[in-house]
This record gives sequence, C-alpha cells and structure tokens, in this order.
Amino acid sequence: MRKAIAISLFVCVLGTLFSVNASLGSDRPLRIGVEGALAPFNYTDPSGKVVGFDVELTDAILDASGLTGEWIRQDWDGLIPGIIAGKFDIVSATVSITEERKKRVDFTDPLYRTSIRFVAAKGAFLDDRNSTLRGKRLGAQRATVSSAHLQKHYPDSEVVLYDTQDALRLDLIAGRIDALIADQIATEDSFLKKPEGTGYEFFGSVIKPDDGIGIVLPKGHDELMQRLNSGIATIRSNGKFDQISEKYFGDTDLR
Amino acid sequence: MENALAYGPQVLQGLLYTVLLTVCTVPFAVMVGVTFAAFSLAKSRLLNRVARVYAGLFRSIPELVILLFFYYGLSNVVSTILMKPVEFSPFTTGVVALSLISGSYTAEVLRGAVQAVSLGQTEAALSLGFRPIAAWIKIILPQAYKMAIAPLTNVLLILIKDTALASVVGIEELLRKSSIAAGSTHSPFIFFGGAAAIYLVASIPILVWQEKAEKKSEVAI
Repeated sequence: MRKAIAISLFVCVLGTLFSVNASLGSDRPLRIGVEGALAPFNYTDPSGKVVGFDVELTDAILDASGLTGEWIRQDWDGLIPGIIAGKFDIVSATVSITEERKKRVDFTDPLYRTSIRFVAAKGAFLDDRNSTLRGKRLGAQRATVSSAHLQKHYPDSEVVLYDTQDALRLDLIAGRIDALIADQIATEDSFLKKPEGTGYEFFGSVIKPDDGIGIVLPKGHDELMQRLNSGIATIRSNGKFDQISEKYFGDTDLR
Repeated sequence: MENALAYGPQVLQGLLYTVLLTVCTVPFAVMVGVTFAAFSLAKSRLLNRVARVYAGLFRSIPELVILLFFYYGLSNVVSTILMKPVEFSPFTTGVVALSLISGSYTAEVLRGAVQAVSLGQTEAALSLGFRPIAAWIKIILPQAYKMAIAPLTNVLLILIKDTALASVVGIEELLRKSSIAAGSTHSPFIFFGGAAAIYLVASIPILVWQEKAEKKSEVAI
C-alpha cells in the first residue's frame, strides 16, 4: 500500500512537470489560444501540431509585425474566459467579430470574411424564408454567429444548439433537426464533399452575417493592437494573404 | 485532411493524461474523504457541521463550474492575497478540483458505511471487553469496508469519466484528444467510438477488482 502511494505521488510530480506553463518573461512569445478542431481553419495534425488557414495567416501577421507566438490549444468554451483571465495574450481561432463579444474583448481589423449558409436534405427546402422554416427544427453550433443568426431571424422555428460541428451534423443525419446553418467553407469541405454528406445540399442565400473574423485581444492592449493591425495591412497588400488563401480555398474570395 | 489512423499516438497520449489524472487524484480523494468522514463521525458538533457543508457544496455544484472556478478564479484570489502573480498549472488545478469533488462523495460513502454497521455491534464488542479503538479496527471497520466496496467503485468509475471535464482547463485527456482528432479529420464515429471503447477497457480491471474484493470480504466476515 505504502509503495502504491509512493509510486502514485511520484507519477503526480511527473505529471505536474509535464504540464508546467512556459516561463513568464518580458520578451516571451505571445500565447495564442486556438481551438484546433475546425479543419481547415484551425486543426491539429497527427503529430499534435496546430495547423490550418488561421494559423498560417496569424503566423504571417506576427512575422510582419516583428512578433513571435506559441499556439496553445483550448476548448472553444475556454477561449474567451481564458483571454479575460490572462491565460492567453491573443486568440486566433476563427472568431467572428460581433457587437456582443466586443463588450468583453477587443478585436483587430478583420483578417478575412466567411459566409454561413443553411444545409438540409436534398430538395427539402427551396428557400430560407422565415415562413418556409416556420415550426422546423434548425440547428447551429452554440455561441457562434450561426446560432445568433437563427435566434435573431427565425423566432417561429425551434432552434437547437450543439457544442461541436460534429454533433450538429450527426443530428442532421439522424433526422433530429430539419436543417443546420454553419460556415459555408467548412461545411462544404468537411461534410458535403464527404460520403456521409452526399444526400445533403446548401439552400437559401449566402449570408455574410458579421464583420469578419478577427484576432481577439484583452481590453485595452492598444500597442499590441496597432502592431497586429499593421501586420494585417502588410500581408493583405504584399500578396501573402492571397497566397495563403489560394492554398486553402482556391479562388474563393475571403477578403 | 489527414488519415484517421495517424492520430492513434495523439489519442494514446490523451489516454496517458486520463490515467495520470486518475492515479494522482485517487490518493488525495481518499485522504480528503477519510478526513471528512472522520469529521462527520466525530463527537464535535463543529466538525460535523464543517463536514456537512463541504460534502453539500462539492456534491451540489456542477463539476465543470468547480473546475472553471479553480482554474480562472483561484489563481486570481491567491495572486491578490500574496500580491504577486501566481499561476497554477492545468494539471495541478485538475487534480485539486477532482480530488475535492471525489473526496466529497468518498466522505459520504465512508460515513454511510460506518453508520450502517449496527450500534449493537459496538455495544457487543465493548461488553466483550474490547477497547473502543480495538472495537473500531476489529469489528466496525471490516464490516463497513464490505459495505463501502460497491459505492467506492462507483466513485472511482465516475472519477475516470470526470477527468474528461478537465479539458476545459486545457488538459488534453482522452476525450479532448479524440474530439480534436474528430474535428481535424471529420470522422467523429471513429474517434468517439474509439474513446468509448478505451474507457470501457480501462474500467474492466476495476470491475474485476470489485468482484474479487466483494467475494473476499464475504469470506472474511
């Protein structure tokens, strides 16, 4: 028994050592919070590295502003609390700029702009008018611009919210919701083009619901904000943005 | 995207953290549980009250809220008190929070088990000339142990699954790694199904232990 306790205490110490945060210095790299589970925007490769469109863009921006950063994965739900509590310096994780979020955190100028769109079984709906979707069950990921869009424009439908895109799609396939609304590119790439998405299609209009995707900063970090904004302007004018955008999305315009 | 199989090592690394968290939490949860069970069985009204408040609080508040409070709140509180920035690692936070949560259930299980041994047993032991301490060790505790096996196994199994909540403070345990891999490959069935299978396999030794322990204590009494 004593031996068992000794071994477990030893293992605990090891565990703590493994998970100790990077030491805090003055010229340390920026700690960048990211979800890391939203391919192709920000996801994780098999070696555990965070990769994707957001990651390459942000690294290019930091590079252009003379900054460095280290990527820290965190649950989506912990990202904004994390930045408010000072666990991250910035968050770059496909976060849409919204008035609601601006009350708690600051955003840089938009990095890029995506659109959201409804998806349902082929032929199920012809348009996305409120009257067409009255009384239907509509799904979206919780705390996203998609969920805000549903709650604002579809008061007569039943809005069902999910923690992840995967859960959302699984419920559409299972028939527990009639339609979902989500990011157009991500949905096309990772659902409609996959075998499980063959029976489904976009319907209704392409919606640009927000002011784009921004990098999140805690309130009042004006100097860092200026440096990041000048970095964004630089990569948008020197062709770096287009180069990365083309690599991920071909000729789809994300500006 | 990437081939799902390539994420195997990532998922196993997640399993390592699930096991680490569990192995580290159990000794502390037992210490906390025994201490507060002793408090609630003590003759002091004050200690009874302390034990009651603790068990009430930690069993009532959602585990997720406790974890978030410890991670985001506690370091701020401690930093303010010490007047210098203090940062707790996610792992430490996870172990402390999970120990207090599991400890509260353990305390109640142990208290219940001891109280379930009929008072007549103590009286009989004392009238046979046992000292109170000996009556406890030789008569009460062995019987209480037998009754505590099943509920303690429950606490342990629930703890293993609760470690998944530690992902909100940034620990990438089994379920979080599986969720990352699912989101990165868009193959949720493979990874969530795989995670379920791993939790099941990891629980089998505990279930076997429970059966053995229950048989053994049957013989002993």
